[in-house]
Amino acid sequence: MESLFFYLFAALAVVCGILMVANPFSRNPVTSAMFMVLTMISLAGVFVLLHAYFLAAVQILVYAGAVMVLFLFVIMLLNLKEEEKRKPGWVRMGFGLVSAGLFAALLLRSVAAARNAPLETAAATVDGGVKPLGLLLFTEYPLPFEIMSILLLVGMVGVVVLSKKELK
Amino acid sequence: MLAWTIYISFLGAGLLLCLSSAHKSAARVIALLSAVGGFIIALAGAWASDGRLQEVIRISWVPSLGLRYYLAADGISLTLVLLTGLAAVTGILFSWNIQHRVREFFAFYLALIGGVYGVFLSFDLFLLFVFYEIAIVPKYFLIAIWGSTRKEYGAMKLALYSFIGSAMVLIGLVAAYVVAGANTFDLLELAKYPFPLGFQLWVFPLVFIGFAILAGLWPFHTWAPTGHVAAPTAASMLLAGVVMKLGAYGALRVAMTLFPLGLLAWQKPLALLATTGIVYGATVALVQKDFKFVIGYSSVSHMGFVLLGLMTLTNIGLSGAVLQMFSHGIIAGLLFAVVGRMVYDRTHTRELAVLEGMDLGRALPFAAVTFTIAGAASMGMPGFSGFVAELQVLIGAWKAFPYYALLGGLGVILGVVYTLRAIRKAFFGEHPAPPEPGHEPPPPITLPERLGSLILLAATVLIGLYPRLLLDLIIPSLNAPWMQHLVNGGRP
Amino acid sequence: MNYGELLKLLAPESILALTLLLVLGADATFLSGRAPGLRRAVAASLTVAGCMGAIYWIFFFPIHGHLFSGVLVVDPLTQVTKQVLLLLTAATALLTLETAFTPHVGEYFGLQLLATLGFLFMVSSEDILTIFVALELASLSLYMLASFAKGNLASAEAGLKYFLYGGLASAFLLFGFSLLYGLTGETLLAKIAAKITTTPRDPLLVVAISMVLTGLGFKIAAVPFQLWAPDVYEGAPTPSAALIASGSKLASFFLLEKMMTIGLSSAVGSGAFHALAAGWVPMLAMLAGLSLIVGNLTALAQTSVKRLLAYSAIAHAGYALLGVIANSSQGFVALLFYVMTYGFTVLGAFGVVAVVERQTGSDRLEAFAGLSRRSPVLAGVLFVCLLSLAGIPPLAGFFGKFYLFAAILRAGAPSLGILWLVILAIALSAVSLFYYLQVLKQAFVREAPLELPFSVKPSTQLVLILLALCVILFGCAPDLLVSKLLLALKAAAPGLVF
Repeated sequence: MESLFFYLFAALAVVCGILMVANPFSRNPVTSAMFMVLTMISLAGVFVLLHAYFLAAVQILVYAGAVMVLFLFVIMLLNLKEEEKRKPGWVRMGFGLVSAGLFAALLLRSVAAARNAPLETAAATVDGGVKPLGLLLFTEYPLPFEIMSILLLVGMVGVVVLSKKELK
Repeated sequence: MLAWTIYISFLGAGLLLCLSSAHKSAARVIALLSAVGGFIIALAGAWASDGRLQEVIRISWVPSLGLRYYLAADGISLTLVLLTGLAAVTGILFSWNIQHRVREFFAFYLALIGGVYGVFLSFDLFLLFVFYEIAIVPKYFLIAIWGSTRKEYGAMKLALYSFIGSAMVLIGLVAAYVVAGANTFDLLELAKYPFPLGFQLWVFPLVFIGFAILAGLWPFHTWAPTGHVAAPTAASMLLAGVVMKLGAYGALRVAMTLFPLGLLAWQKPLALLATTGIVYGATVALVQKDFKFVIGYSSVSHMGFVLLGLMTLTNIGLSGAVLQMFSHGIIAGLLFAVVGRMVYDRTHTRELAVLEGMDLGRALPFAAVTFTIAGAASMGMPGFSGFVAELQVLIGAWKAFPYYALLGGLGVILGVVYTLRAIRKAFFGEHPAPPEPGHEPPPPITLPERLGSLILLAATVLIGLYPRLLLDLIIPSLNAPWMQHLVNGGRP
Repeated sequence: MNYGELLKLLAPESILALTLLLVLGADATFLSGRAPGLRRAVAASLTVAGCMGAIYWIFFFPIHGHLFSGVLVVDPLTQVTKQVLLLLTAATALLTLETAFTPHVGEYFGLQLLATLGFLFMVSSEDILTIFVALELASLSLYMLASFAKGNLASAEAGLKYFLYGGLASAFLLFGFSLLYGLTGETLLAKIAAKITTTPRDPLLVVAISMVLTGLGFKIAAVPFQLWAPDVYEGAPTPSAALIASGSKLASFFLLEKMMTIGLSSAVGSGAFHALAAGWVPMLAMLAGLSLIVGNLTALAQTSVKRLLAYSAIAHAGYALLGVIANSSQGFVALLFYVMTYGFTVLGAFGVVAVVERQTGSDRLEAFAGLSRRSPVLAGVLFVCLLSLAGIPPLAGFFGKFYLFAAILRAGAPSLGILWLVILAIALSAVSLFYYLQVLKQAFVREAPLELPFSVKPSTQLVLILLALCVILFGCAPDLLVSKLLLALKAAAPGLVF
């Protein structure tokens, strides 16, 4: 049952991800944004399956909720037209396809090889609630937590600078 | 004491950079004083030496890699240090009239000299390599800024050839350093290590040719004529007089000393290349239209004698080779001085066909006489240093490989022919055109030029008449234990 | 765990963070509306004072310790590296005075400090989670710095390109890290290494390694992850490009070395010519070889000096990778020596480019014509820096290269299997002389159409001269730095036998 749901959510995430960047039917940015919401939600589903309830909730609240609303706001404010179709450069296309192919081959090979080997580390049962996460953050990982706060400062400064109108 | 030859040159260069560019005469005087200082130190060092190795300074430099600041001198080094001092002093005398960016010219010049002194005095191979590369960059700028005739091309070609050669050397040195595993670049210690045969077979030619590129080894000589022609007079004097010796010296001191087995295996092919260089250089010099190209190709030919002498692996051949380095350094310097400074700067042409009509023998008698004497020395007339040196090389070659010695003899004869041709065409044209009205006679030869010519002429005559002055330095150093295999036909 | 201890260990970082707030605050309050020159001067002096303060703190209050078993590592080696990073930032800040591309002075200097903060954290962590966050802190600041000249289309392009490529690389890195975590269940490098040895070689490990290398290869601009570098170096404001080329390189290489030699110490493999074996060494050897070839050969055709420096940076990443491939303590020291001195050198070169660009409005080769007459000091600095990059003794670049070659060959001795890479590196350094001489030819040989002397700020002159002196000093007496690094490495990892 669990694996059925896993495959469902995983497939949904991948398909929506592809539709977000390369939708053959529509080149409207809003459509892309909506597919991104779907991807986020399916990822949240995967988190639930991993017992990471807090993460799942945050995923929905922050990404599918707040961030996406901002995205849509900006898209609509800027009044973006449908993106024009661009002609793909064949050299670039070929180069990209070759590297992507190579990488896919590498992945497939390792997955195929991994199938024969029994999974050694049994999926650890994690308590994905708020409490263990908070404990970890304040006992073992306070440093990355602090660095994150500085990272937010960078984001803030950057936004202010980049979005401010230059007075000429 | 001898280390001060290096420091005084670099100090002079540094001092010049601090000088205001308006003080042209001050720049000349500082340069001359540093060069003379270096020369006097070199003379004193040679006077005090008995030809055996004497340590100058030896301190640790980078202990974790076993690098040392190790300067020492044996007879071979001293001979070349002496040559460098002579070339430096006379080169400055012949550039006395330079007006364009004087300060920088002499700064680059002294930096080059300092690097050259350093190479000849280093007995730590890393240090030797450092000085070897220091000498590359000033050469480029001397030619590119103050040169003539496709100067940027000639300068870049020279720089790239030198750098590629030194890259080959560096590969060989690093590999030898790691294989020996003794954590040292000390020449004498590395020379004791028996490198495996398979290793020597590829490292020896790499290092030897890397150095010999700069010595004008055929077929890697092509930088030499273009470089010499493009260079200003003082720089071509240094190029032919000293820089080409760097290559030959490196080949002898590093490649041949460290890798005796590789040397034995490659002896014949390299001797063939050297002989080809002798004959090829002489033949090409025979048909040149540009006066300076004649001298440029003659340098290739004369340096062929040095390399041939090295390959003989006999006492007499090797001492001849070192003597030839000294002798060619002086004679080629003199020839370039006459062509570049006395003739070209006054007539603004180097075309032999044009010079033929100028009757320079009458207009510039001093130049004509100097060139004739230098030409005689160059073609190996007895009484001059070239004779002793080339004779020794040919005797050594006769013992080792008679056929090549015959070919070398052919080179000597060709040398007589092209030198006579150049003298006749340049100074004693048979059909002097009547001087055009309003044509001014070339300005007379200046005092510094006379002084420079006389110093060089005196040196070549002195060594020609009494070669033991130098041979007493060279031969004891060839008998040093780590050079034994070089004078015993390659056997340890 | 004790927060007091954390604060003590993080003192330099805290000083920097305080300085950052000061810079931002001063610029936003009592300096707002003042002349931009004054604002720049104040911000730069605050930045330099902060960096110097942090350096002095490290120097006079040496403290070492591990917190959370490796999430924060403060040992002599990280401290030396941090000091150099702070020096590089201070020099960059002073060179920024030479430019006037933005009215947002406080923010620009603030972002330089933030990027430096990121570098410092990158250096002092051995935990993949922290490493990633620190890397993002540095990267995000650098993206912003690259696009800071808002009136300039090239700068916007540079920023966007850097951001897009960088985002992709971060994604790869994160994927690689999560695979590593999934394979071992650990985030600490040492523990990851221990787990990898115990389990049989998992094929997913290859995927993880190649993804990590993709992410870090982007940071160090190694081929084939170098595409962003030329446009960013050319389009970004010159001080930003200088910081990307110097500080960011040093921190990234330090990180790469730790990641490989500690975290993946059991998946080394071999890059020897006859004995290739799977692991990260052959992968890195390939990256190094490609970077050397592509960087050096493409640089030959450049006419913009900043682009030329970008391609030369790619080539230099190839050289520095030799130190990582050596996988030995000598290699580590050689790598650090090389990247540190490279930082000084490239800062000097960019400083000269910044002045020339401001005075002539271009960074083309022709703009440098007659530099030796127009400003002998600048020409001298350029001479020293470019020849050091070309590897001419007695400058630092030569000794650095030599040390790398010796270290990589010694690590494999007595077999000379990796010699192919060394031969490639040495041969291509001969090629590189050509393009460096092209610049110097303009500066010293060619004559300028107008021989007006350049006006250079005294602070810029001072910094440039100091940088050039450093390059000469570390070339003539490399032991000053080498012995210090060796001692620090020994103290940092006493039982180190890799």
